[in-house]
Amino acid sequence: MSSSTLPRIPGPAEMADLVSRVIGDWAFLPVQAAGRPAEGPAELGLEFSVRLTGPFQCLMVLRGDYDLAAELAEASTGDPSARDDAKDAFKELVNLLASHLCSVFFPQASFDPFLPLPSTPGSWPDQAPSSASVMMVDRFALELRLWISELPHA
Amino acid sequence: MELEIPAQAPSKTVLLIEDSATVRSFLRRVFLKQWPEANIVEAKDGREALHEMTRCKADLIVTDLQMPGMDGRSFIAKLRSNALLKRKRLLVLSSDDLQDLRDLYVEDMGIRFLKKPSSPDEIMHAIHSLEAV
Repeated sequence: MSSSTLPRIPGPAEMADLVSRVIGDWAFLPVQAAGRPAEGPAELGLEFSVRLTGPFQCLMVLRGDYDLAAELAEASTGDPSARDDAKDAFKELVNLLASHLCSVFFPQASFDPFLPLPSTPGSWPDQAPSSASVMMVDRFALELRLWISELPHA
Repeated sequence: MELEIPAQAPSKTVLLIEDSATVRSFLRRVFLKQWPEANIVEAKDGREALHEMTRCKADLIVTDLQMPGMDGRSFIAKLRSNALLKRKRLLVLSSDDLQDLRDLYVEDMGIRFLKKPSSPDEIMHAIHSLEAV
């Protein structure tokens, strides 16, 4: 497969803008872009990833912490008791972001169905991410990384 | 044997099919605010929803698409291929691109599609338009 099948890769500011719109519409929390993350993973306790397979492959990894997830759970439902479902809220954010990532940045591509799964930095590809962005959601850090690559040859 | 009739039957039964507890909690609050007497039945995937439908008579079904187990697309196909259930009112609420389903069910007046995240007003607007059919 030629490299011409790879899409244009969104930059950190574009990714932060997407996150800002999704979280703003869903949980009504402010998001501030903070550039690129440090080379290695920050100490954040929650990580989920989504693997998109279509005309190319995309691994999306989102990292945050439980306090952020609890804030998202409460803010998106308007229910303080929803903080107990913090992990579930974070997973839903990953689902929302992956879907919006596809429709905003890769509108011509069709991908297989996907589900967010828990992951760790140990499962990341060896190479540096194609794009990465760090944001402050309210007062909590959130890291988003994308690895975009061609499909493996059969 | 006499049938026991509840003093005040719930005004409406809503079946929520969604794997996220957070989203189910949000939707439950939206619907109970609109219909405080409603019976809200929850299922985590399409298979659980089909099971619930043998026990409750859902007036309205709200479903996600991306779910582990039986996903929303398979659930909708099963629902619409069943003579008894094919007229059930259905709101599809998903972050997916919904165009393929819109095209597939273009003549089905009993389905509405909404992209997540949607506000309570957008959700209720879609449901009122379903109920007007």
